[in-house]
Amino acid sequence: MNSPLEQNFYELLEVPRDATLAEIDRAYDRARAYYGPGSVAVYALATPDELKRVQDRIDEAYLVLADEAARVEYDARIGPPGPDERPLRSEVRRPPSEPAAEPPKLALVPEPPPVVPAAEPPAAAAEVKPEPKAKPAAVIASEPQAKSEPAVEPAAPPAEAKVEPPPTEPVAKAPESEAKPSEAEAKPEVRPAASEGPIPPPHMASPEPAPKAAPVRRERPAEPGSARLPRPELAPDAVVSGELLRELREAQGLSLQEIADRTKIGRPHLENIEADRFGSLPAHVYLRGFLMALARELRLDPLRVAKSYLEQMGERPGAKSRS
Amino acid sequence: MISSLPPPNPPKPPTRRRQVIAVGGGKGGIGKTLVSTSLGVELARRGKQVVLVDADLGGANVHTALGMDPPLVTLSDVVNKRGPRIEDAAMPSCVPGLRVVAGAMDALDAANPKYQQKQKLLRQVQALDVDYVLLDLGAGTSFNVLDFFLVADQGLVVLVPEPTCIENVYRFVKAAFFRRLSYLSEELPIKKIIEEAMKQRGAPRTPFQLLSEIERSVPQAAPKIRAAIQSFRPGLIVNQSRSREDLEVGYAVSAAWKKYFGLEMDFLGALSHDDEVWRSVRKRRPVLVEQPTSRVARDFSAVVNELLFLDQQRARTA
Repeated sequence: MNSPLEQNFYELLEVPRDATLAEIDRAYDRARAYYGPGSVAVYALATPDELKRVQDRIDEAYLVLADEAARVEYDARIGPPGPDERPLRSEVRRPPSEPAAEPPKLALVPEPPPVVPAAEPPAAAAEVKPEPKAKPAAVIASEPQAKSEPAVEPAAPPAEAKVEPPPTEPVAKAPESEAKPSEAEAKPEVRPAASEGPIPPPHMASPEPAPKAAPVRRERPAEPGSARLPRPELAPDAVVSGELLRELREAQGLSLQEIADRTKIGRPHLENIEADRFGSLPAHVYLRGFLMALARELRLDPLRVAKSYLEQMGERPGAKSRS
Repeated sequence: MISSLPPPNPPKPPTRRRQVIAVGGGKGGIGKTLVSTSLGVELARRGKQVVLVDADLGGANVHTALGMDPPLVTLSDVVNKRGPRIEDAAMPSCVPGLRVVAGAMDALDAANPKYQQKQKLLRQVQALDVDYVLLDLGAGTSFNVLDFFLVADQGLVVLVPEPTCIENVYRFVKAAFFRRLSYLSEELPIKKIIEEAMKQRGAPRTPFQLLSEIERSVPQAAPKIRAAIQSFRPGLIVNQSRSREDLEVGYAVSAAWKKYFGLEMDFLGALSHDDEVWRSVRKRRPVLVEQPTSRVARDFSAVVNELLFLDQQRARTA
């Protein structure tokens, strides 16, 4: 294992090469919590400057891996996975002979999270392209290029984009990921597998054939009334409030229920987010996940949305932070 | 009073015989003695034969934590040339199945044993005919502490979720790891490389980078170094946890340790901050006996489950 500054983005986020977008989201949250600026766990391990560089790299890793085109390009650049890397999900999911061992219990079993967005089917990766660079436009600006797309596939994309039953959650998790409170009870036992067997090149085993250079952005199954052409842009200095999120949602003709259905986030949570009812929002770590999922639905940069919302929330007195 | 205890958890298949477990952590006052005595009580409750050795040379108080009278025979007698063997110095405690070798009370020579004495002690510890030997270590990272830590099959570090303590935990495991490598440098020509690595400031060279350096310059030493790296896998217990964030610190520390240093650390669970602990200490009674249904007692049970589980798993893959 290299030092974190030399790890590739997958190693850095501790995900296998074929991680789904949902896994990358969770891994990013975890990496922020464990190695990020607020973590008490890292400061004694490296100099502040090194910590900062690793944190920046974690952000960069997320921006690349959550963007499908960038990820394909990155994959090509770094070549096949090394022996230290996590086994592919597809490898782990095919359990060899050994039955999954009984999950050990934790001393302090965290209560289950309110709602966890279900793992998205891999196909979803194609449609959620975060916009790393916010164009200096008005808060909402329509983007001509988007116009033609939704019409292209009026019929819902075939089965694959439908609900592949959420892969039995923990299977692909490697040790560190158990750390997420939501998964603490279901501790996967993939440790031994890590060093077993040759790892096929990512494209062989990848459940989702990576689209080539100019990825056709696959729009979701067209929803009724989804002539939601305008692609929103956040002004660079925009502060993301619940109000703004609601405006952006309405501008795209999306109902709260549609978003709740797609993200599997409970509608009350979404309502609370839009109403800035900070006191009623779930713990920070879940809220961040919700915000990122919501941002993706709204085709906004998930990182920015989550960061900005949480920041302005932190500034209000009485807003609870976590727990 | 034992009959009042709740029934032990479902029996586990037998683990390896004579597992030596050391409890350390670098900082003082973080609950090493609480952890080692409670582990002793919990394992004994599950029908194991346990000897708890108070190896806190110079700061022994396991006997007090367990409400025992000031001991007549202690570790300093065992260290002595014509002293008793360690199994004869093990005194019964208030919990059947748990015996205690009390720590040296005052003798300076026991706080700073000679090399020969220490070797004798370590050999005897490893030869005890019981299911578990628990070693309650002192604070700090002196060689005496590290050597006891390294003689164990399983080292545990205790952490209170505070920056000072986290820093000391890293310092402690790092010191223990390099101490283990330095054992190897007695027989292998790698002393210089290891000394260089230890001196480095800032982001440490990870042991794996060290390994590749050794592979290049002293290839014959590489297999042993690799084995030492892979087998160095302490367990982590968070004590005085007051919130979910505190629990998360356990995960974060073991993840960050791996991220920056490249070595594994198993987080075994968190022990709730519980006033029952403080009340029991006052009474000089183990909290698991005094308050078997307390939150912290349940936490200990879960930690022991996890410990046994990992042990089984390791035995299976070995």
